[in-house]
Parts: sequence; structure tokens; C-alpha cells
Amino acid sequence: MRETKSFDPSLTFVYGRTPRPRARVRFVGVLRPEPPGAGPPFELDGPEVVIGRQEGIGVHLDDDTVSRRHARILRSGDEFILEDMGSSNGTYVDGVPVVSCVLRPGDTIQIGRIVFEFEVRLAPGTGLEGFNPWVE
Amino acid sequence: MGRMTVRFWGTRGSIPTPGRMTEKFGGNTCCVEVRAGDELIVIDAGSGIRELGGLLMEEFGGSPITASLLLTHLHWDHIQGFPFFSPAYQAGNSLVCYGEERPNGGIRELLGGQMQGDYFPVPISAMHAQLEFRTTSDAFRVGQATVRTCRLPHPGGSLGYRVETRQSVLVFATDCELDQVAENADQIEDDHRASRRYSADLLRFFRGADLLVIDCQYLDEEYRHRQGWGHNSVTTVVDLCAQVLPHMVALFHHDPQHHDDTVSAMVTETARRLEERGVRDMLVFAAREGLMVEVKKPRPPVRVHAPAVSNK
Repeated sequence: MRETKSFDPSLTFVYGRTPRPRARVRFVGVLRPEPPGAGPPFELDGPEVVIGRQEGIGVHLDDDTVSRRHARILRSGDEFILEDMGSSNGTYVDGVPVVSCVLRPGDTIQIGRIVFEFEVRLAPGTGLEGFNPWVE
Repeated sequence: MGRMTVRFWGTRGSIPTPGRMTEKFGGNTCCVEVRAGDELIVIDAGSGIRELGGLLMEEFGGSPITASLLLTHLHWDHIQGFPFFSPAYQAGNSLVCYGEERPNGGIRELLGGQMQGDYFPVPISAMHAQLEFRTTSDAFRVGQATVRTCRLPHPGGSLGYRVETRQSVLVFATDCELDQVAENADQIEDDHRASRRYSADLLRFFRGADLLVIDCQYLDEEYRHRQGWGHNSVTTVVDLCAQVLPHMVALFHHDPQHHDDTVSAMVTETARRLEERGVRDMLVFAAREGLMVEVKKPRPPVRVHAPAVSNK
């Protein structure tokens, strides 16, 4: 039986770091303007999507209650993290002013007076297409 | 002194509860990260501390990490993540652990007890960070922040922590059953919704918070069958908030039996009843994993439906 005397503490980092898969994107984040029909949905494409009044950025909102670079959504593995970027009117999730927040499906996001519902779509496929689990 | 922020890494009580029904508010047990200017404070080491440890390792990228770990008490759901806290294994890091003196040994011995061979393969002696253990039952300083403690009613006892800077006040009070120390216990036994009378010391501890993180594990109807288990009901939290008027209140220590819908219902019930009590300008929400808020008086969002624009 192995003793722990030769234990290498550096190996324990595996306990702390949750690997974030990057190779395969299985989840697609979507900002759906509220109320329904208020506008087309925004698909969150890429590792960082900036939301603001500035033209040419990821999610452009032409509204004077929105700061030029108001907030951003970072993608980390299968998580979407909303961060306020020092906006004048704040960034809210379910009515709570946030510095940042890991988003969950159904969250209500408010940027200035613009409201979205956050959705996650699961891309089809399991990553096991064509794989035969029977070792023959 | 910079701003104070709070980030929730574990909000669940008793036992980790992963799964789709707890996806919104989270299934990890208690762990909260507080940044007070340059100071890094961690409250409790439930299973949520594992992810925090990983993030700190990435953030500091090999530079020394200095942190204070405030332990409310040593029940399992508050320490079970400690063996998985990566920064504690790295030489050069420094961790000062605060907690209450226990009758069964020092904090180090009790934390290390769960890492003995029958329970866990890696002993606490493998943690090569500089670990310091301080017992406290009073006030102390962490950098420019002042931390005050309050002994709270819970089986075996629990410490509440009040973290103060010049700009911000955080009161963290998990694992407490405040009805147990109400001076009119007989009256509230007969009428659960009667207003509680608490000692001046207790009220002083809670008053003036920008953010109050409070144990709100039980619905009222559940509490009837859980008296003495050491956790608050919605009514107790409503009554406390109506007396001490925090700017924000985060319901915490979610019951492992409660799905997201139940926790959401407890938030709306708390807010509705506070409004009935005449309370105004208070933000009520449920602590959720991955949420970071600034500890200050919050500003309501811009009105979604703007008033009609007058003629130019």
C-alpha cells in the first residue's frame, strides 16, 4: 500500500482547478429581449461579448441609459459570466446590481432600461458520435 | 481603502446538492469570498472553497497568496472543502484561520481530523502554506478592515462576523436560530409572527449593514418541526430585517431539500412581508453561487417603462 510520505503537494492542484473545455462548444448563450417580440435575440459568440451604446461592439444598444461599454459576457467553458464594466446605471440580474454573475437560464438581465432574458441552447451532439463503447 | 465586494462560492446548507433543481442558487456548501480593498477574506470552507482555490491559483499565477479564513464553526458543511483548497498546499502562501475555541481541540486539530487517513488520503501536514490558527471571540483587524464577532445560537455555537471598513459594513450570520435568544421566547412560541425582542448587543451587531447575509433555511411551516436545529425561518428573518434595516439582505444556507423555485418563493415572501411591515428601500435576494455584489447601498435600476416625454 502506498504511503503518503512521498506526496507531492503540487499534484493536489488538480483538486482546485476545474478544467474548462475549449475544444468543443456545446452550449450557446442567447440574450432574448424582453418583452417577447421586443427585438431579435443576440447569440453570444466568442469568448467575450461587450454590451453597450458604442457602435460596432458585440451587442449594440442605442439607448441613452446604456453606457458606451456597459457590460460584457465572458465565456468560461460552459459558463457565461456577466460583468459590469463600470457603467453609469449599473448591471442587474433578477433585480440585483452585480459586479459580476455567472448566468443561469431564465435570468433576467437589465442594462440601462433594456431587459433581456438569458437562455442557453444545447448544441446537438454528445461528443461521442461514431464511437463504439464496446471494446472488441 | 478600495471597495468591498462579496462573491458567493457556496450557499447551500448541510450537504452539497448538485443537480438541475439547484442550478440557479447552487449546490455547494458555505463559502464566501470578501475583498476589502487589497485584503482577501474567505468566510467558511464548505465545498464551494474548492473552486475559489482554483481561481485564486490562476489569479495570482504563482505570486504569494495571503488570505484570512474566518470560520463560523466547524460543522461539516463549513469545513468539508478545506482539504481541497489548493492555495493551502503551496509553499509561500499564507493563510490565517480564525475561529472559536472548541472544547474538543484546537482549530488545527479539528480541521486536520477530517484529513486523517481513514477520511482523506492527504494529511494536513502536506499543506505547505504558512498556516496560522487563531481563536477569537472578539474584534480583530484584517488589514484596514475591522472584524467583530458575535456568538450566535446554534447547536455547538456559531460565530457571526461583521466586517467593517470606512465605506462598507458586511454582516455575515449563517447557522443561527435567533428565536432561541429572543427575550420574549414564550410569546413567539404562541405567536410565531410576534415581533422578537433581542438584546441590545445582538441588535448592535446586526445594525447598519450594507449587506446582511443571513441564515434563512426554513419555511415557517418547516420550522415548526425543526425547532432547535439551529436555523432561522422566514418570519425570523423578516422580523430581524425590519428591526435592523440592512440596505441589502441575502438569504443564505439554503436547505438541501429546497429546489430553486422554493428559494425564489422564500425571497418573494420575505420581500412582501417586509413591505407589509412598512420597510422601504431594502433589496432582498437569495445568495447564489457565482454572484458578486458590491457592499454598499444599492441603487434601483432605471425604470424600464420611462415616463412619457413632454412636448418639446
